[in-house]
Amino acid sequence: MFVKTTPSAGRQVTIYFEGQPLEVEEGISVAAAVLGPSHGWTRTTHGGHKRGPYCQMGVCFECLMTINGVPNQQACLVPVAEGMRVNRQNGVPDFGKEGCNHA
Amino acid sequence: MRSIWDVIIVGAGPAGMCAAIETARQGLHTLVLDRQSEPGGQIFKSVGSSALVNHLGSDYSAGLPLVEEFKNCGATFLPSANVWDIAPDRVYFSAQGQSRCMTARQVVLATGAMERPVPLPGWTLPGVMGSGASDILLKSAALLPQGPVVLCGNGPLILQAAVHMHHFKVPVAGVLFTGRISNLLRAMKHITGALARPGYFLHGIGMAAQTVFSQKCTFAVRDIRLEQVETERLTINFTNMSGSKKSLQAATVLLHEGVISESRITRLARCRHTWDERQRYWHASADEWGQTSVPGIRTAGDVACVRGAVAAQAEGRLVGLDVCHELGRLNMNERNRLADSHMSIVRRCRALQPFLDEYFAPTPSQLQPADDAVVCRCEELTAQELQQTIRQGCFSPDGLKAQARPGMGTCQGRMCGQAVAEMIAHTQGLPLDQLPQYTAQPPLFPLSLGELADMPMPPDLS
Repeated sequence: MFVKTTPSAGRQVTIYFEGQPLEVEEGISVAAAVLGPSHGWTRTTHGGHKRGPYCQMGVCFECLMTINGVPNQQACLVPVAEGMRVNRQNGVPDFGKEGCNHA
Repeated sequence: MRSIWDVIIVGAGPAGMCAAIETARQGLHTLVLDRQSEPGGQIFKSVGSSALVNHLGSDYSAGLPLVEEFKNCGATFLPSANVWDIAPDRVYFSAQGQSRCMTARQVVLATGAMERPVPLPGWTLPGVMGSGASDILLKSAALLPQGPVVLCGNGPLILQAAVHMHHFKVPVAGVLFTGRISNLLRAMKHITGALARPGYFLHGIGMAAQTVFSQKCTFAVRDIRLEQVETERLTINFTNMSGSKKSLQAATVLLHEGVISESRITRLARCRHTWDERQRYWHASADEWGQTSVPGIRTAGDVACVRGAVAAQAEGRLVGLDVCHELGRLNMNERNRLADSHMSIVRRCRALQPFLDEYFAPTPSQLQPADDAVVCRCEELTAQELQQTIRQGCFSPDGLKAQARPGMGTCQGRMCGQAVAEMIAHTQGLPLDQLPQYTAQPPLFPLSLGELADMPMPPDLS
Protein backbone atom coordinates (compact mmCIF):
# COMPACT_ATOMS: atom_id res chain seq x y z
CA MET A 1 0.00 0.00 0.00
CA PHE A 2 3.02 2.29 0.31
CA VAL A 3 6.07 2.25 -1.94
CA LYS A 4 9.46 3.90 -1.87
CA THR A 5 9.99 6.98 -4.06
CA THR A 6 13.77 6.99 -4.23
CA PRO A 7 16.40 4.29 -3.80
CA SER A 8 17.62 4.25 -0.21
CA ALA A 9 20.57 6.50 0.36
CA GLY A 10 21.18 5.94 4.07
CA ARG A 11 22.65 3.00 5.94
CA GLN A 12 20.56 -0.18 5.86
CA VAL A 13 19.65 -2.36 8.83
CA THR A 14 18.02 -5.78 8.94
CA ILE A 15 14.84 -6.27 10.94
CA TYR A 16 12.67 -9.38 11.19
CA PHE A 17 8.96 -8.89 10.49
CA GLU A 18 6.99 -12.00 11.41
CA GLY A 19 10.33 -13.83 11.22
CA GLN A 20 11.14 -12.66 7.67
CA PRO A 21 14.27 -10.51 7.23
CA LEU A 22 13.72 -7.01 5.80
CA GLU A 23 16.44 -4.58 4.67
CA VAL A 24 15.31 -1.11 5.68
CA GLU A 25 16.80 2.34 5.99
CA GLU A 26 18.18 3.21 9.39
CA GLY A 27 16.23 5.84 11.30
CA ILE A 28 12.77 5.27 9.81
CA SER A 29 9.94 4.16 12.10
CA VAL A 30 8.97 0.52 12.50
CA ALA A 31 5.52 1.44 11.16
CA ALA A 32 7.03 2.89 7.98
CA ALA A 33 9.35 -0.12 7.61
CA VAL A 34 6.59 -2.75 7.71
CA LEU A 35 3.76 -0.86 6.00
CA GLY A 36 4.43 -2.39 2.57
CA PRO A 37 5.32 -5.96 3.65
CA SER A 38 2.37 -6.09 6.07
CA HIS A 39 -0.14 -5.14 3.31
CA GLY A 40 -1.15 -2.30 5.58
CA TRP A 41 -2.22 -4.30 8.64
CA THR A 42 -0.06 -4.55 11.70
CA ARG A 43 -2.47 -5.82 14.36
CA THR A 44 -5.91 -7.28 14.87
CA THR A 45 -8.43 -5.90 17.36
CA HIS A 46 -10.00 -7.95 20.14
CA GLY A 47 -12.93 -8.28 17.73
CA GLY A 48 -10.56 -9.85 15.16
CA HIS A 49 -10.48 -6.98 12.66
CA LYS A 50 -7.31 -6.00 10.81
CA ARG A 51 -5.91 -2.55 11.58
CA GLY A 52 -2.92 -0.55 10.40
CA PRO A 53 -1.10 2.64 11.39
CA TYR A 54 -3.48 5.58 10.89
CA CYS A 55 -1.95 8.82 12.21
CA GLN A 56 1.85 8.15 12.07
CA MET A 57 2.38 10.56 14.96
CA GLY A 58 1.58 8.65 18.12
CA VAL A 59 -2.03 9.74 18.65
CA CYS A 60 -4.26 6.91 17.40
CA PHE A 61 -2.55 3.83 18.90
CA GLU A 62 -3.58 1.75 15.87
CA CYS A 63 0.05 0.78 15.18
CA LEU A 64 0.54 -1.20 18.42
CA MET A 65 2.94 -4.07 17.69
CA THR A 66 5.13 -6.51 19.57
CA ILE A 67 8.73 -5.33 19.24
CA ASN A 68 11.54 -7.53 20.57
CA GLY A 69 8.93 -9.50 22.49
CA VAL A 70 7.40 -6.49 24.22
CA PRO A 71 3.72 -5.93 23.37
CA ASN A 72 1.85 -2.62 22.97
CA GLN A 73 4.68 -0.65 21.37
CA GLN A 74 3.70 2.31 19.17
CA ALA A 75 5.43 1.27 15.95
CA CYS A 76 5.20 4.80 14.50
CA LEU A 77 7.35 6.21 17.33
CA VAL A 78 10.02 3.48 17.51
CA PRO A 79 12.95 3.80 15.05
CA VAL A 80 14.19 0.56 13.48
CA ALA A 81 17.41 -0.98 14.83
CA GLU A 82 19.65 -3.80 13.64
CA GLY A 83 18.24 -7.23 14.43
CA MET A 84 14.91 -5.92 15.73
CA ARG A 85 12.12 -8.52 15.91
CA VAL A 86 8.76 -7.06 14.94
CA ASN A 87 5.50 -8.96 15.15
CA ARG A 88 1.87 -8.21 14.58
CA GLN A 89 -0.12 -7.93 17.78
CA ASN A 90 -3.20 -10.08 17.51
CA GLY A 91 -6.17 -9.44 19.75
CA VAL A 92 -5.44 -8.58 23.37
CA PRO A 93 -1.68 -8.93 24.05
CA ASP A 94 -0.36 -11.58 26.40
CA PHE A 95 1.73 -9.80 29.03
CA GLY A 96 2.72 -13.03 30.73
CA LYS A 97 5.16 -14.44 28.18
CA GLU A 98 8.11 -12.09 28.09
CA GLY A 99 7.28 -9.55 30.75
CA CYS A 100 6.30 -6.01 29.97
CA ASN A 101 9.53 -4.06 30.33
CA HIS A 102 10.14 -1.63 27.53
CA ALA A 103 12.33 -2.52 24.59
CA MET B 1 21.16 14.88 34.00
CA ARG B 2 19.98 17.64 36.34
CA SER B 3 16.37 17.40 37.56
CA ILE B 4 15.79 21.07 38.38
CA TRP B 5 15.39 23.39 35.39
CA ASP B 6 14.50 27.00 34.75
CA VAL B 7 12.17 25.99 31.95
CA ILE B 8 10.87 22.71 30.61
CA ILE B 9 9.38 22.78 27.10
CA VAL B 10 7.17 19.91 25.98
CA GLY B 11 7.39 19.44 22.22
CA ALA B 12 10.24 20.13 19.77
CA GLY B 13 8.21 21.34 16.81
CA PRO B 14 8.49 24.88 15.44
CA ALA B 15 7.01 26.52 18.57
CA GLY B 16 8.99 24.49 21.11
CA MET B 17 12.29 24.87 19.25
CA CYS B 18 11.85 28.66 18.94
CA ALA B 19 10.93 29.05 22.62
CA ALA B 20 14.00 27.01 23.60
CA ILE B 21 16.31 29.04 21.38
CA GLU B 22 15.20 32.25 23.12
CA THR B 23 15.43 30.92 26.69
CA ALA B 24 18.77 29.15 26.15
CA ARG B 25 20.18 32.30 24.52
CA GLN B 26 19.58 34.18 27.78
CA GLY B 27 21.33 31.46 29.76
CA LEU B 28 18.27 29.77 31.25
CA HIS B 29 18.64 26.05 31.95
CA THR B 30 16.24 24.69 29.31
CA LEU B 31 15.03 21.11 28.86
CA VAL B 32 13.05 20.13 25.76
CA LEU B 33 11.13 16.84 25.73
CA ASP B 34 9.59 15.25 22.64
CA ARG B 35 7.89 11.94 21.89
CA GLN B 36 9.65 11.70 18.54
CA SER B 37 13.22 10.52 18.07
CA GLU B 38 14.36 13.79 16.48
CA PRO B 39 13.42 17.49 16.67
CA GLY B 40 11.20 19.14 14.05
CA GLY B 41 7.68 18.17 15.04
CA GLN B 42 5.36 16.94 12.31
CA ILE B 43 5.68 19.92 9.96
CA PHE B 44 9.50 19.65 9.87
CA LYS B 45 9.50 15.89 10.42
CA SER B 46 12.96 14.39 9.67
CA VAL B 47 13.97 17.56 7.83
CA GLY B 48 17.60 16.96 8.84
CA SER B 49 17.70 13.47 7.33
CA SER B 50 14.97 13.39 4.65
CA ALA B 51 16.05 12.20 1.21
CA LEU B 52 13.37 14.49 -0.24
CA VAL B 53 14.24 17.72 1.55
CA ASN B 54 14.56 19.54 -1.79
CA HIS B 55 11.42 18.03 -3.33
CA LEU B 56 8.74 18.97 -0.85
CA GLY B 57 8.70 22.72 -1.17
CA SER B 58 10.26 25.63 0.68
CA ASP B 59 7.71 25.40 3.54
CA TYR B 60 9.44 22.13 4.49
CA SER B 61 13.09 22.96 3.80
CA ALA B 62 12.65 26.16 5.86
CA GLY B 63 12.85 23.82 8.83
CA LEU B 64 16.49 22.89 8.17
CA PRO B 65 18.16 26.06 9.50
CA LEU B 66 15.72 26.14 12.42
CA VAL B 67 16.53 22.57 13.48
CA GLU B 68 20.26 23.36 13.19
CA GLU B 69 19.84 26.51 15.29
CA PHE B 70 17.92 24.50 17.88
CA LYS B 71 20.52 21.75 18.06
CA ASN B 72 23.23 24.33 18.73
CA CYS B 73 21.29 26.65 21.05
CA GLY B 74 22.44 25.16 24.34
CA ALA B 75 19.08 23.67 25.41
CA THR B 76 19.10 20.03 26.49
CA PHE B 77 16.99 17.90 24.13
CA LEU B 78 15.59 14.59 25.33
CA PRO B 79 13.99 12.63 22.46
CA SER B 80 11.54 9.70 22.76
CA ALA B 81 10.24 11.12 26.03
CA ASN B 82 6.53 10.79 26.80
CA VAL B 83 5.18 13.39 29.21
CA TRP B 84 2.43 11.73 31.23
CA ASP B 85 1.59 14.25 33.92
CA ILE B 86 2.08 17.94 34.43
CA ALA B 87 1.76 20.54 37.18
CA PRO B 88 2.75 24.25 37.27
CA ASP B 89 6.24 23.44 38.59
CA ARG B 90 6.85 19.87 37.51
CA VAL B 91 6.73 17.44 34.62
CA TYR B 92 6.51 13.65 34.82
CA PHE B 93 7.76 11.73 31.81
CA SER B 94 8.81 8.31 30.59
CA ALA B 95 11.97 7.77 28.53
CA GLN B 96 13.81 4.51 27.78
CA GLY B 97 11.36 2.61 29.97
CA GLN B 98 12.01 4.75 33.04
CA SER B 99 9.78 7.43 34.50
CA ARG B 100 11.15 10.56 36.09
CA CYS B 101 9.87 13.78 37.62
CA MET B 102 11.65 17.05 36.99
CA THR B 103 10.88 20.51 38.31
CA ALA B 104 10.90 23.81 36.45
CA ARG B 105 10.10 27.43 37.23
CA GLN B 106 8.18 27.70 33.95
CA VAL B 107 6.55 24.96 31.86
CA VAL B 108 5.82 25.54 28.17
CA LEU B 109 3.41 23.20 26.37
CA ALA B 110 4.15 23.12 22.65
CA THR B 111 2.66 19.75 21.74
CA GLY B 112 0.93 20.84 18.56
CA ALA B 113 -2.11 19.61 16.75
CA MET B 114 -3.58 16.52 15.14
CA GLU B 115 -5.78 15.72 12.17
CA ARG B 116 -9.44 15.96 13.14
CA PRO B 117 -10.75 12.40 13.33
CA VAL B 118 -14.10 12.15 11.50
CA PRO B 119 -15.53 8.63 11.71
CA LEU B 120 -17.09 7.19 8.56
CA PRO B 121 -17.90 3.60 7.60
CA GLY B 122 -14.68 1.81 6.68
CA TRP B 123 -12.20 4.37 8.04
CA THR B 124 -10.64 1.60 10.14
CA LEU B 125 -9.70 -0.53 7.10
CA PRO B 126 -6.06 -1.18 6.20
CA GLY B 127 -5.21 1.12 3.29
CA VAL B 128 -7.05 4.07 4.83
CA MET B 129 -4.94 6.73 6.51
CA GLY B 130 -4.84 10.40 7.37
CA SER B 131 -3.59 12.64 4.61
CA GLY B 132 -1.21 14.30 7.07
CA ALA B 133 -0.06 10.81 8.12
CA SER B 134 0.83 10.01 4.53
CA ASP B 135 2.78 13.27 4.39
CA ILE B 136 4.76 12.22 7.49
CA LEU B 137 5.69 8.94 5.73
CA LEU B 138 6.82 10.89 2.68
CA LYS B 139 9.04 13.20 4.73
CA SER B 140 10.48 10.64 7.12
CA ALA B 141 10.76 7.50 5.00
CA ALA B 142 10.33 8.64 1.36
CA LEU B 143 7.20 6.48 1.11
CA LEU B 144 4.35 7.26 -1.26
CA PRO B 145 0.90 5.71 -1.24
CA GLN B 146 0.35 3.09 -3.87
CA GLY B 147 -2.03 4.23 -6.58
CA PRO B 148 -4.72 4.56 -7.46
CA VAL B 149 -5.25 6.92 -4.55
CA VAL B 150 -8.47 8.66 -3.52
CA LEU B 151 -8.10 11.87 -1.51
CA CYS B 152 -11.14 12.76 0.49
CA GLY B 153 -11.93 15.63 2.81
CA ASN B 154 -11.55 19.33 3.38
CA GLY B 155 -8.51 21.35 4.36
CA PRO B 156 -5.20 22.64 3.05
CA LEU B 157 -3.50 19.27 3.56
CA ILE B 158 -5.77 17.72 0.90
CA LEU B 159 -4.48 20.26 -1.61
CA GLN B 160 -0.90 19.67 -0.53
CA ALA B 161 -1.34 15.88 -0.89
CA ALA B 162 -2.87 16.33 -4.36
CA VAL B 163 0.10 18.47 -5.43
CA HIS B 164 2.57 15.90 -4.06
CA MET B 165 0.78 13.02 -5.83
CA HIS B 166 0.97 14.96 -9.10
CA HIS B 167 4.65 15.80 -8.55
CA PHE B 168 5.61 12.18 -7.83
CA LYS B 169 3.30 10.83 -10.57
CA VAL B 170 1.15 8.72 -8.25
CA PRO B 171 -2.14 7.85 -10.03
CA VAL B 172 -5.10 9.56 -8.33
CA ALA B 173 -8.58 8.14 -9.01
CA GLY B 174 -10.25 11.24 -7.64
CA VAL B 175 -10.22 14.07 -5.13
CA LEU B 176 -13.46 14.28 -3.15
CA PHE B 177 -14.00 17.60 -1.40
CA THR B 178 -16.41 17.51 1.54
CA GLY B 179 -16.58 21.28 2.21
CA ARG B 180 -19.76 23.23 1.56
CA ILE B 181 -19.89 25.48 -1.50
CA SER B 182 -21.22 28.26 0.78
CA ASN B 183 -17.92 28.22 2.71
CA LEU B 184 -16.39 30.37 -0.02
CA LEU B 185 -19.03 33.09 0.48
CA ARG B 186 -18.48 33.11 4.23
CA ALA B 187 -14.71 33.20 3.74
CA MET B 188 -14.91 36.15 1.33
CA LYS B 189 -16.07 38.40 4.19
CA HIS B 190 -12.55 37.97 5.60
CA ILE B 191 -10.64 38.46 2.34
CA THR B 192 -8.90 41.64 3.53
CA GLY B 193 -7.42 39.68 6.42
CA ALA B 194 -6.17 37.03 3.99
CA LEU B 195 -4.24 39.70 2.14
CA ALA B 196 -2.15 40.31 5.27
CA ARG B 197 -0.11 37.34 4.08
CA PRO B 198 -0.25 37.66 0.28
CA GLY B 199 2.53 35.11 -0.33
CA TYR B 200 0.81 32.41 1.67
CA PHE B 201 -2.58 33.24 0.18
CA LEU B 202 -1.30 33.02 -3.41
CA HIS B 203 0.55 29.79 -2.62
CA GLY B 204 -2.77 28.30 -1.45
CA ILE B 205 -4.62 29.52 -4.55
CA GLY B 206 -1.82 28.04 -6.65
CA MET B 207 -2.17 24.63 -4.97
CA ALA B 208 -5.97 24.73 -5.40
CA ALA B 209 -5.63 25.63 -9.09
CA GLN B 210 -3.09 22.89 -9.68
CA THR B 211 -5.35 20.36 -7.96
CA VAL B 212 -8.43 21.33 -9.95
CA PHE B 213 -6.54 21.25 -13.27
CA SER B 214 -4.50 18.10 -12.69
CA GLN B 215 -6.92 15.84 -10.80
CA LYS B 216 -10.49 14.65 -11.19
CA CYS B 217 -12.23 16.68 -8.47
CA THR B 218 -15.75 16.31 -7.09
CA PHE B 219 -17.19 18.97 -4.79
CA ALA B 220 -19.68 18.93 -1.90
CA VAL B 221 -19.41 15.16 -1.53
CA ARG B 222 -21.33 13.42 1.28
CA ASP B 223 -22.34 9.97 2.62
CA ILE B 224 -18.86 8.53 2.14
CA ARG B 225 -18.50 4.80 2.75
CA LEU B 226 -15.38 2.72 2.30
CA GLU B 227 -15.45 -1.01 1.64
CA GLN B 228 -12.70 -3.52 1.19
CA VAL B 229 -13.08 -5.57 -1.98
CA GLU B 230 -9.92 -7.60 -1.48
CA THR B 231 -6.44 -7.02 -0.01
CA GLU B 232 -5.21 -3.57 -1.06
CA ARG B 233 -8.38 -2.82 -3.05
CA LEU B 234 -11.00 -0.46 -1.68
CA THR B 235 -14.27 0.90 -3.01
CA ILE B 236 -15.29 4.45 -2.09
CA ASN B 237 -19.03 5.06 -2.35
CA PHE B 238 -20.37 8.59 -2.07
CA THR B 239 -23.17 10.95 -3.02
CA ASN B 240 -22.29 13.93 -5.20
CA MET B 241 -23.69 17.46 -5.18
CA SER B 242 -26.67 16.59 -7.41
CA GLY B 243 -27.60 13.62 -5.23
CA SER B 244 -26.30 10.83 -7.49
CA LYS B 245 -24.59 7.82 -5.96
CA LYS B 246 -21.07 7.34 -7.30
CA SER B 247 -18.14 5.08 -6.56
CA LEU B 248 -14.39 4.95 -7.10
CA GLN B 249 -11.78 2.20 -6.76
CA ALA B 250 -8.49 2.75 -4.93
CA ALA B 251 -5.55 0.97 -3.36
CA THR B 252 -5.12 3.73 -0.78
CA VAL B 253 -7.59 6.26 0.62
CA LEU B 254 -6.30 9.38 2.36
CA LEU B 255 -8.77 11.21 4.61
CA HIS B 256 -8.43 14.72 5.99
CA GLU B 257 -10.88 17.02 7.76
CA GLY B 258 -8.61 19.76 8.98
CA VAL B 259 -6.29 20.10 11.92
CA ILE B 260 -7.28 20.72 15.55
CA SER B 261 -5.36 21.36 18.76
CA GLU B 262 -4.41 18.17 20.62
CA SER B 263 -5.76 19.49 23.90
CA ARG B 264 -5.41 16.54 26.25
CA ILE B 265 -2.27 17.96 27.84
CA THR B 266 -3.75 21.43 28.41
CA ARG B 267 -6.93 19.86 29.78
CA LEU B 268 -4.82 17.71 32.11
CA ALA B 269 -3.06 20.89 33.28
CA ARG B 270 -6.56 22.31 33.99
CA CYS B 271 -6.02 25.35 31.77
CA ARG B 272 -9.10 27.34 30.78
CA HIS B 273 -10.21 26.51 27.23
CA THR B 274 -12.00 28.36 24.44
CA TRP B 275 -14.47 26.89 21.94
CA ASP B 276 -13.62 27.70 18.32
CA GLU B 277 -17.02 27.93 16.64
CA ARG B 278 -15.76 28.08 13.05
CA GLN B 279 -13.48 25.06 13.27
CA ARG B 280 -15.44 23.32 16.06
CA TYR B 281 -12.78 22.38 18.58
CA TRP B 282 -11.59 23.38 22.05
CA HIS B 283 -8.17 24.86 22.65
CA ALA B 284 -6.38 26.36 25.66
CA SER B 285 -6.84 30.10 26.12
CA ALA B 286 -3.58 32.02 26.35
CA ASP B 287 -2.45 35.64 26.05
CA GLU B 288 0.06 36.91 23.48
CA TRP B 289 2.93 35.66 25.68
CA GLY B 290 1.43 32.18 25.91
CA GLN B 291 0.34 32.57 29.54
CA THR B 292 -2.61 30.25 30.28
CA SER B 293 -5.07 30.56 33.16
CA VAL B 294 -2.68 28.43 35.26
CA PRO B 295 0.31 30.45 36.56
CA GLY B 296 3.60 28.90 35.46
CA ILE B 297 2.06 26.99 32.55
CA ARG B 298 2.27 28.45 29.07
CA THR B 299 1.37 27.31 25.60
CA ALA B 300 3.07 27.99 22.27
CA GLY B 301 1.95 27.08 18.76
CA ASP B 302 -0.92 24.94 17.53
CA VAL B 303 -1.71 23.33 20.91
CA ALA B 304 -3.56 26.56 21.75
CA CYS B 305 -5.32 27.31 18.43
CA VAL B 306 -4.14 26.09 15.05
CA ARG B 307 -2.46 28.79 12.96
CA GLY B 308 0.32 26.82 11.31
CA ALA B 309 4.09 26.66 11.43
CA VAL B 310 4.91 30.31 10.69
CA ALA B 311 2.71 31.56 13.52
CA ALA B 312 3.98 28.78 15.79
CA GLN B 313 7.58 29.90 15.36
CA ALA B 314 6.75 33.52 16.15
CA GLU B 315 4.61 32.49 19.13
CA GLY B 316 7.42 30.28 20.39
CA ARG B 317 9.82 33.24 20.25
CA LEU B 318 7.36 35.45 22.15
CA VAL B 319 6.82 32.83 24.84
CA GLY B 320 10.56 32.28 25.17
CA LEU B 321 11.19 36.03 25.49
CA ASP B 322 8.51 36.46 28.14
CA VAL B 323 9.85 33.51 30.12
CA CYS B 324 13.22 35.32 30.10
CA HIS B 325 11.46 38.45 31.33
CA GLU B 326 9.56 36.56 34.05
CA LEU B 327 12.75 34.90 35.27
CA GLY B 328 14.68 38.17 35.38
CA ARG B 329 16.88 37.79 32.30
CA LEU B 330 15.28 40.55 30.22
CA ASN B 331 13.65 43.75 31.39
CA MET B 332 10.35 44.77 29.84
CA ASN B 333 11.88 47.16 27.32
CA GLU B 334 14.38 44.56 26.11
CA ARG B 335 11.64 41.96 25.84
CA ASN B 336 9.37 44.30 23.89
CA ARG B 337 12.14 45.37 21.54
CA LEU B 338 13.11 41.75 20.76
CA ALA B 339 9.43 40.75 20.46
CA ASP B 340 8.48 43.43 17.95
CA SER B 341 9.09 41.57 14.67
CA HIS B 342 7.59 38.30 16.00
CA MET B 343 4.52 40.17 17.22
CA SER B 344 3.91 41.54 13.74
CA ILE B 345 4.16 38.03 12.21
CA VAL B 346 1.63 36.76 14.75
CA ARG B 347 -0.69 39.67 13.90
CA ARG B 348 -0.54 38.88 10.18
CA CYS B 349 -1.17 35.17 10.81
CA ARG B 350 -4.15 35.98 13.03
CA ALA B 351 -5.55 38.28 10.35
CA LEU B 352 -5.43 35.49 7.77
CA GLN B 353 -6.92 32.81 10.01
CA PRO B 354 -10.65 33.73 9.81
CA PHE B 355 -10.52 33.34 6.01
CA LEU B 356 -8.91 29.88 6.25
CA ASP B 357 -11.17 28.78 9.09
CA GLU B 358 -14.32 29.73 7.17
CA TYR B 359 -13.15 28.38 3.83
CA PHE B 360 -12.16 25.03 5.34
CA ALA B 361 -14.96 24.93 7.94
CA PRO B 362 -16.09 21.37 8.61
CA THR B 363 -19.54 20.42 7.32
CA PRO B 364 -21.75 19.85 10.40
CA SER B 365 -23.78 17.03 8.81
CA GLN B 366 -20.56 15.14 8.09
CA LEU B 367 -19.65 15.27 11.77
CA GLN B 368 -22.67 13.08 12.59
CA PRO B 369 -21.34 9.60 11.83
CA ALA B 370 -23.41 7.02 9.92
CA ASP B 371 -24.90 4.25 12.09
CA ASP B 372 -22.35 1.60 11.11
CA ALA B 373 -19.26 3.85 11.41
CA VAL B 374 -16.85 2.73 14.14
CA VAL B 375 -16.60 5.84 16.35
CA CYS B 376 -14.34 4.50 19.13
CA ARG B 377 -11.64 2.62 17.23
CA CYS B 378 -10.03 1.16 20.36
CA GLU B 379 -13.19 -0.35 21.85
CA GLU B 380 -14.79 -0.97 18.42
CA LEU B 381 -18.02 0.86 19.17
CA THR B 382 -20.27 1.96 16.32
CA ALA B 383 -22.30 5.17 16.16
CA GLN B 384 -25.48 3.10 16.43
CA GLU B 385 -24.34 1.45 19.67
CA LEU B 386 -23.36 4.80 21.19
CA GLN B 387 -26.53 6.51 19.94
CA GLN B 388 -28.65 3.94 21.83
CA THR B 389 -26.98 4.87 25.11
CA ILE B 390 -27.20 8.60 24.36
CA ARG B 391 -30.94 8.33 23.67
CA GLN B 392 -31.46 6.49 26.94
CA GLY B 393 -30.42 9.69 28.67
CA CYS B 394 -26.73 10.48 28.42
CA PHE B 395 -25.71 14.14 28.36
CA SER B 396 -21.91 14.25 28.52
CA PRO B 397 -18.86 12.53 27.02
CA ASP B 398 -17.73 11.35 30.48
CA GLY B 399 -21.20 9.91 31.10
CA LEU B 400 -21.14 8.06 27.80
CA LYS B 401 -17.64 6.79 28.58
CA ALA B 402 -18.86 5.38 31.90
CA GLN B 403 -21.91 3.74 30.36
CA ALA B 404 -20.70 2.49 26.98
CA ARG B 405 -16.86 2.57 27.12
CA PRO B 406 -15.88 4.97 24.29
CA GLY B 407 -12.55 6.57 25.18
CA MET B 408 -11.55 3.69 27.48
CA GLY B 409 -8.93 2.27 25.10
CA THR B 410 -5.25 3.00 24.59
CA CYS B 411 -5.76 6.27 22.66
CA GLN B 412 -7.64 7.58 25.73
CA GLY B 413 -10.34 9.25 23.67
CA ARG B 414 -8.09 11.25 21.35
CA MET B 415 -9.74 9.67 18.30
CA CYS B 416 -13.39 9.60 19.44
CA GLY B 417 -13.68 12.61 21.78
CA GLN B 418 -14.73 15.07 19.08
CA ALA B 419 -17.24 12.75 17.45
CA VAL B 420 -18.78 11.70 20.76
CA ALA B 421 -19.34 15.36 21.73
CA GLU B 422 -20.86 16.14 18.32
CA MET B 423 -23.24 13.17 18.64
CA ILE B 424 -24.39 14.06 22.16
CA ALA B 425 -24.86 17.74 21.27
CA HIS B 426 -26.90 16.86 18.17
CA THR B 427 -29.10 14.21 19.78
CA GLN B 428 -29.77 16.08 23.04
CA GLY B 429 -29.99 19.52 21.47
CA LEU B 430 -27.14 20.90 23.58
CA PRO B 431 -24.78 23.68 22.45
CA LEU B 432 -21.29 22.25 21.95
CA ASP B 433 -19.67 25.15 23.79
CA GLN B 434 -21.54 24.07 26.91
CA LEU B 435 -20.52 20.43 26.66
CA PRO B 436 -17.42 19.41 28.62
CA GLN B 437 -14.93 17.14 26.88
CA TYR B 438 -13.66 13.86 28.30
CA THR B 439 -11.82 14.62 31.54
CA ALA B 440 -8.09 14.18 30.97
CA GLN B 441 -6.40 12.15 33.72
CA PRO B 442 -2.80 11.08 34.27
CA PRO B 443 -1.05 9.15 32.88
CA LEU B 444 -1.49 10.84 29.49
CA PHE B 445 -0.04 7.73 27.86
CA PRO B 446 -0.24 4.06 28.84
CA LEU B 447 2.35 3.32 31.50
CA SER B 448 3.23 0.02 33.16
CA LEU B 449 2.63 -0.24 36.89
CA GLY B 450 6.18 -1.55 37.28
CA GLU B 451 7.58 1.61 35.73
CA LEU B 452 5.42 3.75 37.99
CA ALA B 453 6.55 1.82 41.08
CA ASP B 454 10.22 2.14 40.08
CA MET B 455 10.06 5.91 39.58
CA PRO B 456 12.49 7.77 41.83
CA MET B 457 10.76 10.32 44.05
CA PRO B 458 11.38 13.93 43.05
CA PRO B 459 14.09 15.51 45.23
CA ASP B 460 11.72 17.93 46.99
CA LEU B 461 9.22 15.19 47.89
CA SER B 462 11.54 12.42 49.03
